Amino acid sequence: MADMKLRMGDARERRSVPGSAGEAQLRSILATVPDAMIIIDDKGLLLSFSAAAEKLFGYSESEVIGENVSMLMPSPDRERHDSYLSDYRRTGKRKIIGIGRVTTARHRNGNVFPIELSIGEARVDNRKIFTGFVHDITARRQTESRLQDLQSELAHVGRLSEMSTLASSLAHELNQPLTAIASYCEGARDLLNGKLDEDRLETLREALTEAASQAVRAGEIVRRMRDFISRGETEYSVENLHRLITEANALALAGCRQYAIDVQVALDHSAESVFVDRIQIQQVLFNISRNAIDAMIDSPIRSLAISSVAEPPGFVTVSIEDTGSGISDSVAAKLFQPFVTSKQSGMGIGLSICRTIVESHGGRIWFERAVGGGTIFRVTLPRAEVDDEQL
Amino acid sequence: MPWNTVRLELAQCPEFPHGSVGRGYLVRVPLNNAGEIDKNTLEREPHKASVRRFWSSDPDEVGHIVPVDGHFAFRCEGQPDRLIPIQSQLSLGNMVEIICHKGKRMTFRIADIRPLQTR
Repeated sequence: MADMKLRMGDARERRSVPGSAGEAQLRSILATVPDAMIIIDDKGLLLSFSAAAEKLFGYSESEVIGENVSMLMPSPDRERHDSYLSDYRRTGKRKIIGIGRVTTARHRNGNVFPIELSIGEARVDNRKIFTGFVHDITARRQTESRLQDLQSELAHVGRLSEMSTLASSLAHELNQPLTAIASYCEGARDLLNGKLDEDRLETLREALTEAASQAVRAGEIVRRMRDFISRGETEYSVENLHRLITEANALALAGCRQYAIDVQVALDHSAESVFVDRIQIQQVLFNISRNAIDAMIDSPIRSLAISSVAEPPGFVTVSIEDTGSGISDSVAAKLFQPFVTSKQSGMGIGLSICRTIVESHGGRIWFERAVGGGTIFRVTLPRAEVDDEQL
Repeated sequence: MPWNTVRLELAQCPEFPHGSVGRGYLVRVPLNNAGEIDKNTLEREPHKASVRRFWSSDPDEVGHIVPVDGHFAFRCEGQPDRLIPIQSQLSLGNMVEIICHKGKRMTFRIADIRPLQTR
């Protein structure tokens, strides 16, 4: 704690140093730069906070100088940021510097909102500093996410239409094995009516073997149809679950700032690597979070809680809980079927897409009713056994 | 009486001579006209009340608010109760005292109060 006081004092003193021409120039930039600009030292303590940052986060510069920048982040980044910095000091390996990332930030009032963060580093007076540019992407993401939503819906509808054609053409093919199975079974039943000598028994065995083989064939036809429906360019790779959730959250929260959604993220640190198609799983997480937010808009309490746990074996279970009005029994019974929805707008195929995607990953998706009336969606994703440090 | 979200920020203290806006509590409680937590409403709708402790780079602690003898307890999972006297006035700019672990008292400033939004 003494060390903290010293560093805080340090930061505050540096700010009060009489302004040189360079500092005046910097002040002028900080006052006018349109994106929020934040400067921190290599321990994460705030050195500078632009006028746009004051507006974006709700704090004045004088209040935050010397504080840890992690106060501007929601969990779990809040408690991890110090270790991100120390890892960078130790390894020199860049994970975000110079790259930029879509993530979330927390306003003074507690609300979480989506941002695009770009970070640069510099050396001043032999001390390393980091400069963060924070761009509020609420409005932009709202448009983009709706577009993405529409595109995925259209793509799925297109596939459903193709499926309809496919189903017609396959109906004949599927009908053949089913007719054969019926015939073999009827034949077997007739054979049982007479005396069962060795010849009849042999014929009976053959009939049942053929029936079983035709059933397998029918199954293959169905599987081919399913593969066709869920086809797409899937690229499985080891992904960081925390990043997937953060990015999906940022998208889902777009345009929702006025609803003051309380977001809590609590992840199991022991299971953060998953083996998935990043885009597809982001689509699933986005869909569920967005549904959750939509379900809460008319609720007095709007709380979105996302958590993960390393189970069952080989999988990670992600839970997304809302405090909305819940799902009616009539909708619940066929929730994951296409064209089922409780929304005024939307085609009701979001969750059917989600199920297709999750099941194609070998996982499961289901929902439970939460205490207090909301809904909890749970998704299992295949766990990747790698060192999280690699991601 | 409406429910409110109240933000408490650490006031000046020897450890933090300027106070700290990065350390405090965000509580969702019903308030009466005097700015006190409305015990009856709270007991009627206990699930609606919540507390979130934010403390610089510590993990957030989230929990419920329950009445205990002469106090309301901020009860976060795995943490000892923090107590706020029942007569504390949660009015903008006021200072309130919270009794933490082992009786340590810390003062917080009411930095913001806003009614729970409904569309």
